[in-house]
Amino acid sequence: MSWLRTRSPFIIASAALGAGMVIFLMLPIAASIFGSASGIPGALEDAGTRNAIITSLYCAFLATLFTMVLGVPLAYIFARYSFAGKGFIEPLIDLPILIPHNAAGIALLMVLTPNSVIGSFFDKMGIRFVDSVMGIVVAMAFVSAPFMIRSAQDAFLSVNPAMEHVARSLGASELQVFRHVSFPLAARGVLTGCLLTWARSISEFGAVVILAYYPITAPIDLYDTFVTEGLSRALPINGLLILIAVAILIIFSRLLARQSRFLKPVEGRA
Amino acid sequence: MSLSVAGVNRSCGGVSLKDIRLEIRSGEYFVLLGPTGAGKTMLLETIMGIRRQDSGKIVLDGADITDMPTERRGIGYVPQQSLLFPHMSVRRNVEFGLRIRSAPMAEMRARTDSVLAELGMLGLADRSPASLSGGETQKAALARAMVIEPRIVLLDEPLSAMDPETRHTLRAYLKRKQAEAGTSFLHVTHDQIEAFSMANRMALIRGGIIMQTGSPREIFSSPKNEFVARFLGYENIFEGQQAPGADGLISVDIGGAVIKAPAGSAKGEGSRCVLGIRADEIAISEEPDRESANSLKGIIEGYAELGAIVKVSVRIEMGALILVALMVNAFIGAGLDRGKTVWISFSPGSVKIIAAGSALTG
Repeated sequence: MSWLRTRSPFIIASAALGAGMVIFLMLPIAASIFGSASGIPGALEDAGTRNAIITSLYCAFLATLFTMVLGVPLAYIFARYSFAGKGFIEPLIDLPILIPHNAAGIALLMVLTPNSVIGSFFDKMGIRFVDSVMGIVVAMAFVSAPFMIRSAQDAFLSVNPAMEHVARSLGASELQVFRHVSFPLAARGVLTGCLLTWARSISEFGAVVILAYYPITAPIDLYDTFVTEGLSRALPINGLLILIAVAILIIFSRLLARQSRFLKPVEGRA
Repeated sequence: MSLSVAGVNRSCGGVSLKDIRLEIRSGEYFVLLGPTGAGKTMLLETIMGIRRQDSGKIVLDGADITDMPTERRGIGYVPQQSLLFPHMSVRRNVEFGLRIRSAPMAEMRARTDSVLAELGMLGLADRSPASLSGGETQKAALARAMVIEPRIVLLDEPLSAMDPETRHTLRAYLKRKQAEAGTSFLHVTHDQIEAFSMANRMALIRGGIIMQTGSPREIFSSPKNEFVARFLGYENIFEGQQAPGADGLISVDIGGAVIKAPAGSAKGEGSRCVLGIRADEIAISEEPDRESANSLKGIIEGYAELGAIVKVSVRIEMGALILVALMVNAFIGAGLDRGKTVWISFSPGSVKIIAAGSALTG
């Protein structure tokens, strides 16, 4: 009560509205976990569900790797250089977030089906996207790449370009400046981008279900079970997926905190 | 190592460099002095190769480096905010240039220790930049630039963020280090005291144009134009009519009041000229100074106390307003105040004929 007495009505109202938001977000999640707690061990024993979860984790990892290799250099170019067409290209990067994800899946299918030019090119090399791990990875990467690019871009923008100039004056080439100065200083932002991309990829359903229904990923397994076997059978899988998400969140928070400590330079160590 | 900047032009945003011509001699401490926005940093960045000039040439020790990448120019750079790499210890910062050059570990260690020891920073070698004071940070930045034994060192307002004591110590260190190493230094500053106390030679820059180059004494005693004069503290600048006089003096009529100046200082063929008198070279008294060639009667219009100095505005009989700088004790001791009638006097040698013609810019 003393807290209420010392705070302004504005702060009290803000806290009350904020509490409403927390309840809104947490209630369904808590209900799912507690409502299905007894069935979660059983869901974990199911080989199909287990494989779907492993497929999701594995494909999300590959999608993150893919977006990092292509996205971080793009983010650096966006952060450091102006060029013709930048004003047009840059906003397009966010498009995958805006378009419905099943529409993204259809767009990818158009480009990557073996009947298309690009699809047939990869098909000749033995790479197929429809109903394959590669398709899942591409679908996940497509919808989550903006998270990687924007996080990395913000991170590079926060590095003072004058610091890079100093490194150049000390004899470092542009690649060495990137390797020794820009990237280490932007690493936290890039890692955040990786974690967001991975997390977003794991939960992707719309684009994956169109391009690569098989092998089944966790969200498709849940949808499949819900449609074919009903809510009661889907609930334990649902609880399990939410528990995994909570675990990922905790791991990410720890990782970011540890990385912050790592980036803070050593003090007074002789 | 000598540096030659020949006719460099560059335009970017609101700042531009116009036909910059500088010669920095081998082993010289050269200071570029100018107000904020004069183009000092842009010139340094152009010399470093970070910015590309629109035209002109940069020659370092006889080699044309105009199109050479920054990393191959061998130019040491100490920026204003030091910009130590925050993810590296002080030692790693200083070693950076040597690591890039793949210097042997033992040599790298020895050179780093040596330069850190010279700056009294060896004990802080394993500290993070975040834990250093402003002075220590700038010393580390200097060590980082010096350890690679650069062909020339560019310093961009390196002392501007320091407290007076640290600034004084670092000034002495920079001068000593430059003399010992025999490396040419190009030091950019807006601080006159810093410039005059450190430079072998110096240049004044304004609006991307070099206004005057010379030794500090040359520039101080013979400002080339009104901007230089004003920037160097010539607060009394008047346009007048010059005429020959007796005893090796000329007379300059500034709206009725006649000021005597050395005949040798006369400039130009015409009779119009611009003259300057420093406020601290003018004396003030209640009686006329009969022995002074320049003794003018006036009334104190106002004054401003600036710590140890008081700036007194005196309206002379012929209408011109002359600023006089006095020590605060002298001001109080003389019992001066607004409205009081006084006499101001100054020697003809204090009068500098800055330019011929009508060059006042207001």
